[in-house]
Amino acid sequence: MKSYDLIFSLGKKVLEGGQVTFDEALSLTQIEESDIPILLGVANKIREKFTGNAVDTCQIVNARSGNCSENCKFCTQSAHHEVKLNVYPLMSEDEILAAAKSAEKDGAYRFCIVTAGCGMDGDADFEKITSAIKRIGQETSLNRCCSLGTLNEEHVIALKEAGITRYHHNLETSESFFEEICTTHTFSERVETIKKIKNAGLQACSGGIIGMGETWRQRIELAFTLKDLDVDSVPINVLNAVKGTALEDTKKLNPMEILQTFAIFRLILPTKILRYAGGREHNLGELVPLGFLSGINGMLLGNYLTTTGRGATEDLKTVTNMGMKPLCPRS
Amino acid sequence: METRQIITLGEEVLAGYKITRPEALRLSCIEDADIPLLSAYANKIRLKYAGNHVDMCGIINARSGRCSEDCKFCAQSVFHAADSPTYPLLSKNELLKQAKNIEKQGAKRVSLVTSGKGMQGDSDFESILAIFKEIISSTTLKVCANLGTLDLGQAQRLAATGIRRYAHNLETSKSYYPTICTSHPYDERLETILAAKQAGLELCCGGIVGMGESWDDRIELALALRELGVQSIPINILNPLKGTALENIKPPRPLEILKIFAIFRFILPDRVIRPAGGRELNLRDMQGALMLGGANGLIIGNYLTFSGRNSDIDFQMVHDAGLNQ
Repeated sequence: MKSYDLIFSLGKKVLEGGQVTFDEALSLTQIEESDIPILLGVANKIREKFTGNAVDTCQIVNARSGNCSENCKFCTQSAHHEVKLNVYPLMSEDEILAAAKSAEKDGAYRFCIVTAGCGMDGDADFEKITSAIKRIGQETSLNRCCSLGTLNEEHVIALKEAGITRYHHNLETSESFFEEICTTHTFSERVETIKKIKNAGLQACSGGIIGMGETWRQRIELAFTLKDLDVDSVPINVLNAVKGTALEDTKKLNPMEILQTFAIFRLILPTKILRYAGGREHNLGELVPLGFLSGINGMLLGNYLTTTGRGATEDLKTVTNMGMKPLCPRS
Repeated sequence: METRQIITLGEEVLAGYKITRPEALRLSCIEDADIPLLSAYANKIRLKYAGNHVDMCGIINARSGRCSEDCKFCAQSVFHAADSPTYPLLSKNELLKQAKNIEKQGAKRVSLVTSGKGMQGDSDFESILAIFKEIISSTTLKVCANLGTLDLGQAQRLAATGIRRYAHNLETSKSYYPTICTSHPYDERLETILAAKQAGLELCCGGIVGMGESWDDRIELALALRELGVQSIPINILNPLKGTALENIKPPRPLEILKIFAIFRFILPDRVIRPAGGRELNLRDMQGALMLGGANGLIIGNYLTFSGRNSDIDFQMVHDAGLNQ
């Protein structure tokens, strides 16, 4: 079969409400390079049909930075790495609120509080964080999310009561590649946290990082695991190999391969939010806007945890320039 | 038009089929969500018939303003009170300096442009020939001329001097032309193009989109260029400059511009299609999409009466899109 026949037959199947199988998705990784833009075009069509023109934007705050016990190889915040990093304990409630207000002013639809560390078990900061979440609810109209690592059931209930609508917890990569990336905790621990979130009726935001040396098959595995978990939003980071991390020498992915990854994720996850995240500027350069014509319908606005983005205004301009509409908290 | 029909037509063009006017018109009616797919086919057609090279050229405004013609888009027309530079033909040294600067930026081609209707009875013509000789012998650039109307004798002298290519836009379709310019007819532009062709010069002819023309007009222009066998097609996207007759025109949306370039590629599979003035203003950060949407040429640096962007960004964009010069 010619690769365009394959792309169109799978695209048609998804557009008609069908699902691609693992092997079908894998076959899309083998198409000729000159057919990649066609795959992107089909992914764009699927995005438009199932999610419309709305773009879900979020801004994150690194509310507690560095000194993390975990050894995730990509991460600048791991205590196992020697990275020049601004390390600080939990910000004060006022500081977190100020970050939220700034996100609101920037036009973000969501605001996410992120803390370094394995998780919330026995973490004295948890109470302070829920208090900050409540206050953000009182003083802004932002949709509130957080990313605090592993959680137990009590945490989930407390966060829901505080007004969290969506919890972020990346799978990072596929189960089969996870041990290459992190050995201080297991993939199934991550899955368990996501299941607790979904069981409590909260939305889940979970994705990963591509370009860490994983195979195409492993990327597809990740997408299918996210599909099985029925996560609502899938952030896709592209590795920004920061000096001092274990992955500092990893070679950049080719821009077309990155766009192809987005498109294949869109075919596997037609109705979900595919969210542009860290590393996009670093890896895609002048082609960043093309993500929005390849299946992307969400984005982190402005800066990431330990790296900087282009700024919220530039990001929002890109969205409107593509003929899409950023969601607005008051709408 | 259905998605399936875009694919069928795309495959047909890839197999060597020349698309017709009604087919091109049907392509212009696709919905926005299908535009990236159309661009993808344009990209494939470009790759198959024109390869992976991007033809980059820099232009020099060698003589500016005080033009007798009334082209509505133009800041150099005496009929407009636009804020544009006015100066007589620049010196040989100055023009050589500018050409060398373009060479240094990395372009392989330069075009010298003079304001005015054309070269008939123009006392600058001999000086211009001497300047061309100098640029040709002192740089490695391919040199093009854009001097307005020419007669055959003048075209032959340019060819004898070593000029590769003559640039003379049709501006728009024959049908829409009288709305844009009344001081000289469309057929006179055609005559110049034919004279240049007869003299053995390559042709660089395109136009401006976003001047209020219809899709019919755009396709008519593309088909006229196909008929003439021009090698390079610069497509400007109107920059409605203050003081010109078109100052209040609303520019086309970025997606619409992508559609225009893709359809031009469908009509002109193996030609150089060159995004020109107005791309920064009208496409903004979507210019990269054009490099994967059928374009394979660029005017870099500044335009005649307004600025472009730093050419480093354009070289980076071409590289990121997997193309090369």
